[in-house]
Parts: sequence; C-alpha cells; structure tokens
Amino acid sequence: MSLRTKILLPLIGFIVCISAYIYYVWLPTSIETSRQQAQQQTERTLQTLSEGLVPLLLSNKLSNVYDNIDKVLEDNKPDWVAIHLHNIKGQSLYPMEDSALPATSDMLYHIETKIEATTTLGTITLAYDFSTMAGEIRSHGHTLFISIMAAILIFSIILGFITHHLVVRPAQKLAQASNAMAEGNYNIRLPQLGSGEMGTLMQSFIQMRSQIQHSTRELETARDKAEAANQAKSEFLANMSHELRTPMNGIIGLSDLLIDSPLDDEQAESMHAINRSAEGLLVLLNDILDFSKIEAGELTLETISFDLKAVIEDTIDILQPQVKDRPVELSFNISPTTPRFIEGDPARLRQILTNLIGNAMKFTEQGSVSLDVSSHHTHDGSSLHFRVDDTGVGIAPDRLEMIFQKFTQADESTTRKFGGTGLGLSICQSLTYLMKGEIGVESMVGRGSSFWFTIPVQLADNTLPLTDDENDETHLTQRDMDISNDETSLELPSPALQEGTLHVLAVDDNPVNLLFLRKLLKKQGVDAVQIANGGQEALNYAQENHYDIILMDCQMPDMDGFQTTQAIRLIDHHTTTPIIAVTANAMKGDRDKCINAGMDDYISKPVQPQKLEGIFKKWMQENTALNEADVTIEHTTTPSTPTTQTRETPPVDREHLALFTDNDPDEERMLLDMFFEQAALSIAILKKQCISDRSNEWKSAAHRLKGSASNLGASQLAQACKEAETHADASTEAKQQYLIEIIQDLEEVRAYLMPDTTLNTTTSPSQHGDNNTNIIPLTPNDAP
Amino acid sequence: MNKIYFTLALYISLIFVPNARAADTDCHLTVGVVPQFEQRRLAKVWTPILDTLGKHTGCHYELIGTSTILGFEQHFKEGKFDLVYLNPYHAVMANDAQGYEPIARSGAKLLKGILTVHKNSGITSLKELDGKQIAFPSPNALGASLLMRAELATKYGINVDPLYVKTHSSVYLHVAKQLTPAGGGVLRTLKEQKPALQNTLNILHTTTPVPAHPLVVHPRVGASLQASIQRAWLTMEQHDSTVFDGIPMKKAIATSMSDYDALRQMGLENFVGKAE
Repeated sequence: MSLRTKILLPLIGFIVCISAYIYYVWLPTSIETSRQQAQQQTERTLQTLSEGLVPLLLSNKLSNVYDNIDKVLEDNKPDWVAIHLHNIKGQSLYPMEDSALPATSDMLYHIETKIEATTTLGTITLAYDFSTMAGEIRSHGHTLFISIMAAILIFSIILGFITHHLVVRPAQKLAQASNAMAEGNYNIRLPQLGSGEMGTLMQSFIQMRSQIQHSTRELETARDKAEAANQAKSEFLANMSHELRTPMNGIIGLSDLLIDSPLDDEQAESMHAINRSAEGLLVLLNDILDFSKIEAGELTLETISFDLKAVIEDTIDILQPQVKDRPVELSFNISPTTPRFIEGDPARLRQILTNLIGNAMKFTEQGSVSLDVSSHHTHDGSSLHFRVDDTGVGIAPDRLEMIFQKFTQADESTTRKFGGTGLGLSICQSLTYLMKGEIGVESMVGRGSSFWFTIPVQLADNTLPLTDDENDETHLTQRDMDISNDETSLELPSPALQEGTLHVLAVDDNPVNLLFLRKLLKKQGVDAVQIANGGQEALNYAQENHYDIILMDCQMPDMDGFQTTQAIRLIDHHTTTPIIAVTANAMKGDRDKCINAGMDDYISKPVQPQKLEGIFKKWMQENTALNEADVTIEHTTTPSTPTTQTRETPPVDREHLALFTDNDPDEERMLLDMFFEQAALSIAILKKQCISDRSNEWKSAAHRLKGSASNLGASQLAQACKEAETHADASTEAKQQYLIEIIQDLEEVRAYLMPDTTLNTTTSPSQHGDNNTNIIPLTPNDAP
Repeated sequence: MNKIYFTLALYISLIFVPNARAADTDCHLTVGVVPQFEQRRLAKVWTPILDTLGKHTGCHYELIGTSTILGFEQHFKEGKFDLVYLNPYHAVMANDAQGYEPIARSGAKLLKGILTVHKNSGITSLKELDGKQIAFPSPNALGASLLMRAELATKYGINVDPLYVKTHSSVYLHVAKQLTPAGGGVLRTLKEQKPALQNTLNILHTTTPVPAHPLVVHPRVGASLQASIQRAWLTMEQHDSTVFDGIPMKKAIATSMSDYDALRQMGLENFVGKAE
C-alpha cells in the first residue's frame, strides 16, 4: 500500500462514517422532530380555524365557511390536503363534492377537532400530508451532505496535494534512488528539502548512500583482489600438482619396472616402499589437482558410453593389492538387473569408487570391504546405487556430519595413523553432485561404515544387464582373498594372451621409446609388435596389415599422431581398431584432443606396466574377435641379483634399463648405441637452435631426447631435457645453459653406462663431427 | 374626479346662474333613500347625484338619513320626504299611505326570483316542498325571498319553513349539500357561482317578474317641478354616463304606478320580515 493510500484511506473512512451518520441517524431524527413540530402547529391552526367557524355555523353562513376553509387550505398548501366538515347530525358541510379523505399512511395523517360553542356544532377533519415537508428536510439533508462532502473532498485534495508534495514525492524519489542503488546506480539526484523530517531523511539517505557507495567500492576492490588471489592460488595449485605429477609418474613407472627386475630382498622391499609411497603421493597430487579444479569450477564431466562392469572390475583389481597383506576380504556384487552399458564419465565414477573403497580399505584392519551395485528404475529415469560396506573403525556420530567437508577426517588421530589429505570424500561429494546424485554415510564406531552414493544414469544404446550372459560372473568376481596369500599367489582370472594372436603396431619417432615399448609388450607376452618410426611409416603398415591395437605417439615430426590416426581411420579394416595415445603431455584437454582425432584411449608416458595392462585388458575385452583375451601382468618379485652399485644416485637406472635388455649385454649395447646416436642428433640440433629463434625445433629436439632418456632410465637427463623443452622461448644465454646441463647429464650417463668410451665420442658423434668445434666454448669450464 | 367635477360645476352655477341660486330659496326638497347601506356610504353615493339633479332643476335637495328600514318606512308613511328612492313594495306602501307617485326606474331587466333544488333530489313540483324547510338569504330580499315566499303562499298555497342563511351563495350551498331540499335566489347570483356548484342545481320555479327600485315624488311637489325633475333624471346619464354607478339604476326610464300593480296584488307586506 502506497503512502498516499495510507493517508487517504482514513479520510475516505471518515467520509463514509459522516455519510452513514447523516443518512441513518441525523436525517430520520430530524424528519421525526419536524413531523412532531408540524403536527403540533397544524393542530393549533386547525383549532383556530374551528373557533372561527363557530359564529358562521351558528348563523348558517355556509358560504363564509367555504371561504374560510378554502382560504386556510390555500394558505397551507400542499401539506393540508383536504378538510372535511360535518355538522352535529353527521351531515357533510364541506367540501361540496362528497369524497373520502385520502387514506392515512406514513406521511399522511388525519387530524380531527370538534367544533365547540355552547354545544358541539360538528367536527372538522384535516388530511395532513407530511411528505412535502419531509422531502424538504431530506433535500436539506442532501444539501448539507453534499456541502460536507465537498468540503471534505476539497480538504482531501489539498491534504493529498500537500502530502504528495511534502512526503509522497520525496518518498518516491527515495524509493527510486534506493532501487537504482540496488542496481548499482548511485547518481540519482535527490531534492533538497530543508530541515523537516523528510529533509533529514533525505540527507541521511544521501549520506548513507555515499557511505554504501564507498564501502561497495572498497568491497569490490577487496573482492577482486581476493578473487585474483584465489584464482592465482588455484592456478598455482593446479600447476604445481600437474608439475609434480610428471616426475611422480616417472618415479612410479621406473619403480614398477625396477620391481620386476632382479633385485635382492632388501632392494625389492625398498623398491616396493618407494613404489607405494610414490603411488600414495600421486593419489594425493591427483586429489589436490581435482580439488583445485573443482574449486576453480573447471571440472567438467564427460558423457560417453562405457561398460559399467568393466569399470567396477578394474577398480577392484587395482585396489586389490592394497589389502593383500591384511586379513581383509574385498568383494563386490552387482545386482542382476543393473545395466551394463551406461552413459556417463567412467573415469570420474572410477575415481569415486576408488576413493570410497580405498578409504574403506584404509580404515579396515580386518574383516571385509564389499561393494554393492544395484539399479532403480522409475518413470523419471534410472539410477545406480553404490554401497561400500566395511568392518573398519567406524565414525563417531558427531563426526558424521563433517565427514564430507574439505580437509576433514573422522578423527585427528586417524590422520596420524592412516594419513590422507581429507580431500577424498570432499571430492567424491563434489563429483556426485556434479553427476546430479547424492552421497551419504552411515556408521557405528567399532563396527564399520557404510558409504553410499546414488547417481542418475542414461542407459547406453546397447544396454544389457550386467549379468545376462555371465550368470556366474558375480560369483566369479567375488574373489575371496586368502589372507595367507602372498602376492605371488595373487592370480587374476584373465587368461594370458596367446602368443601370435595379438598384433600390435607401435608408432613413435623416438627409437628408444619404441624399444622401450616393445620390451614392455614382450614382457606381457605380446611378441607381434610392428614398429613404425613415424606417421607415414605407420600409415603404410596399417594399410597393408591388420592390427588388433595401435599405440600412437602424439608428437612426431612431419605427421603427428593426430593426423596419422585420422588417416588410419580412413582405412577400411582399421575403422574400429583401438588406437591408444601414448604421450608425455599429461595436460588438460589432451585426452579430448586424442578422442577428437579418433583415438580410443590415452596412456601417459612413462608407460607404466599396470596401466598398459589395464588398457589392453579394456580394449581387448571389448574387441569381439578376442572376446576372452585378457592381458595380464604377472606381479612377480623376481629375485634380483645383488646389486654392485654403490653410487647413491646413478645417472641411469640400470634396473630400468634391464627391463628392456634383460641384462643381455648385446641387446644393451645395441640399445645404448641407438640412444647415443639419437642423443647426438638431438644435441646437434639443440646447439644449432641455441642461437636461432626457431623455438619449435629446439623444443622438438629436447622432447625427443627427453623421451629417450626417460625410457632409458636417465631421469636426470630427462629432467634437464624437459626444462629445455619447457623453456624453448628463452634467451640464447639461457638456452646455452640448458644445453650445457643436458650435455653434462648425457656425459654422466655415458660415463656410467659405457665407461670405456671417451668424452669425445659423445660430444662429437660421427655424423656431426663438424659441429664439434662449436661446443668447445660451451663446456662447463668456459661457461660464464 | 367626479367630486372635483361636480364641485367645479357647482361653483360655475353659483357664479353664472344667479337666477338659479335665487330659486334655491323657494325650491327646497327633502330626499329619502332606502337604508340598504350605512348612512355615510349612502351620503357618499347620493350627494353627487342630488347635486347634479339640483344643477339641472335649480332646486336644493337635502338627503334625510334614516338608520333602519323601520324608521325609513315610518318617515315615508308620514310624508317626510319630497323625493324617495325605495323598494318596489315600499313604493306600493308609500303610494297607499301618502300617494307618492313613481317617476323613474332602472331600464334594466325585470327582477325575478328563482327556486333551486338539488339535481338528484327527484323534486319536480312545488307541491313536494309544502311544509319543508327552504333556505333563503334573508326575509326581505326582494326576488330571492319576499317575492318567492309571497308567490308560493298566495299563488300556489304552499307553506314553507324559511331558513335564512344570509347570502345567496349559502342558499345554493345548502341546496347543494342537501341541507335543505330547496333554496331561493336570483338568476344573476346563481350564474356567479362556481360551475361545479351550478351543475348540482336545477331551477324548479321562477317568480313573476317585477320592476326594479323606483324614484317616487310626493304629491305636494308641483306637477311642473315633477316633470322638471323627471326630465332632468332621465337625461342626467346623457351628460354623465357614470352618474348612477353607485345605485342600481341603468338606462333610467319613466315609470308610473301601473307598473307596480302586480306587486300590490301579491300582498308583499304580509311577508316582510319583522326582524329588521
């Protein structure tokens, strides 16, 4: 209700009351009073008339009687309607025509008077009509009413005008200014109103507004600063974790390989410890990366068709080793109606499952951890329900509410005992919400916890119930872990690949990488590996032969992995062949780039045996031609020969190298020759590009050398190359510094692996001996 | 105006007609007028008439006032007036007593009384009114009362109980309200009533017409003077058309006792009211 209405409403009410009073009280009372007065007056007049008639009647002067009555009637028109006069005998004397008096009513009365002399002479009866007088009073009332109304109306208009001028308009201005202020406009002009209440209000408002404006500006500045700082923090966090991930991958890959190499027990134990620590660290890094992405709102979900069962089995398989030394039974059960192929983000689903199951396993000393998957179908759609039950330490009720908060763990002591960042569940919750699902937990201290989450799903086109064709699968997958099992007895159910049944095409411009890959594949029982040194070569092979799977490097000169993939996809028999990207670029969007180019999956360098195994398993299962094929890596601890290495940080990881050479000196020799040949080529290019602006060639050469070095196990060299690659745009001086480091590291590698060779051969490979002179000034001794 | 005129005329006669003035002394006449109105009003009406008459006849006329009808009748029966203006039945009485002779009267219609009954009364003959109360203005109203009562009694042998109601209008109202079965009046006054009243009344009977008020002369006035007075009276209107405005005398004509014989035969004097 507007101010004006609020002011005018009581006035209107007042008017209504006045009207009601005038109409229902004043007017009727006034009419009644007047009627009584008029009646008394009339009776008196009639009495006077009758007295005047006495002598006339006594002398029979009827004409005078008529004259008198006619005159009285005339004088009292129109209230005196008629008079009837009768003599004592009841004979009518007046009026001349015999007619009845008008009937009585509310407004018409009969007043009768006896005409008395010494005897009664007769009676006179008057018909008195009050309606005219009542009408006059009523009309008088109307006039009064209209006058009052007019007065009030004029008063209201004046009041309204004054109110409008003094209150409503300033108030409207204020409201307008307030609205404008809410929209960020602080410049609406406000009238100056002097010293009244409105004036004070106006002044206060103007003051308040300028204060708000000032504060808002300050707050905006502070907010911008805070946002910028937060952005910088998120970016830093993302960059840091990304940067940290790369060396971590190296550590993991190499430690994996080393574990498989012959080591003595102590070494093997240390190696496992390194590997586990690195894995743990990688998980943490991934968590932080995800967390910072979520914080920055950069995390987006994919929607692709995937095999739910495979994802679950993969996850269980990957987590299984974590409890191999504890009496914990890890099992899963998928209800028969659960669809197998659904649309969604398999990687993120896997992440949630890994987190929840990993968490459960972490806090369960003994007993069981089980995953139950079921589906619900309503008219709104389908949803999947995942439930992870454990028999672990449980969570106190008062901690349950905060369990999904960031950096929160059920108990601070758990941090000390079990480790962890406290980010895992928070990420799970964020991911579940991103999937439009729900997540929750029920727990009893000492009895265990039950984490669950529900996500809506779209069924993929080729949806089949998970257990349709494999009725026993659920039982099969409920793999009981014999608590006495050591890791050698851990057997994965998939049969080993039969030799010769799987044809692989490995594409990389770096022969060292290719060698590395071939070795890895060989260890997995894949012998039929065709090597291609570049895109064009790969295309040629692909046109002529059939391959079951193609491993594709992304960064290659002339024809890169993306172009090659696109070309291969045009070949009839390779339209659906799985093409797996193998790249050192673990950057955001790389996966999309690969998928867009027509590749099916992605594996980052350095290639970890387990990852490669997972990829093979995944894609070979989906390949109907090899439906039962599976790739298995035997996790065996090969008793390694006692190491003679005393150096704390050898420039080359010999055990890693042994992965490829199997300690065969000839093979090692061949590999090293190839490596140093390639390295010399790269060094030559780097030298040349030191003083050139063509950063791409510098970058490409550094990249190649980095790949070779990391595959060889020369991590320090690889790191130096990476530095050089990253700073391809740096100044000539800086580039020279990078090059010096690379050469130094390369020399260390050479000295370590081939102590009998001279420095000369390293710095001046036979193919580029003429460049030798150029490097002399750049030797460390001469460096500035 | 008239007064100024006559005063002026008097002065002229005094100045230029010394003979007439001289005649005054041996020609002095007394005049009586029926006291229908109070003396002052009569004097006001009659003085100019008598002055004019005096101018024409060279005599002096003295108006003798009487306050009552009875006194007036006494006076003319004793022959105190030389010249009298009176009722027709008084004229008969005066002639019988002193031999007064009528010389002039109004030339208008003869006077007739009428008897009115209510339209719805069903009365068709006078006989039905025998013994009934009949309304009359007053006992001696000539046409409405005296003539009617006399004629009903003498000519038709009908006795009525008269109710005197003062005015002609009251008579007609009594009949209209059927307070009395009939009432006496004259045609002129009936016509003056409202149409609504007139319409309720029927005229049952009309009396024998009689001449109006005459001017009579005492026999002691000489014949030549009588003729002079008569000639002057009859020609006065030619000189001044308003001279008789105050009295019922229109287009005065000469008359004689024979005009009033019918009256004499009715014996009106027997019906004159004694109240006045």
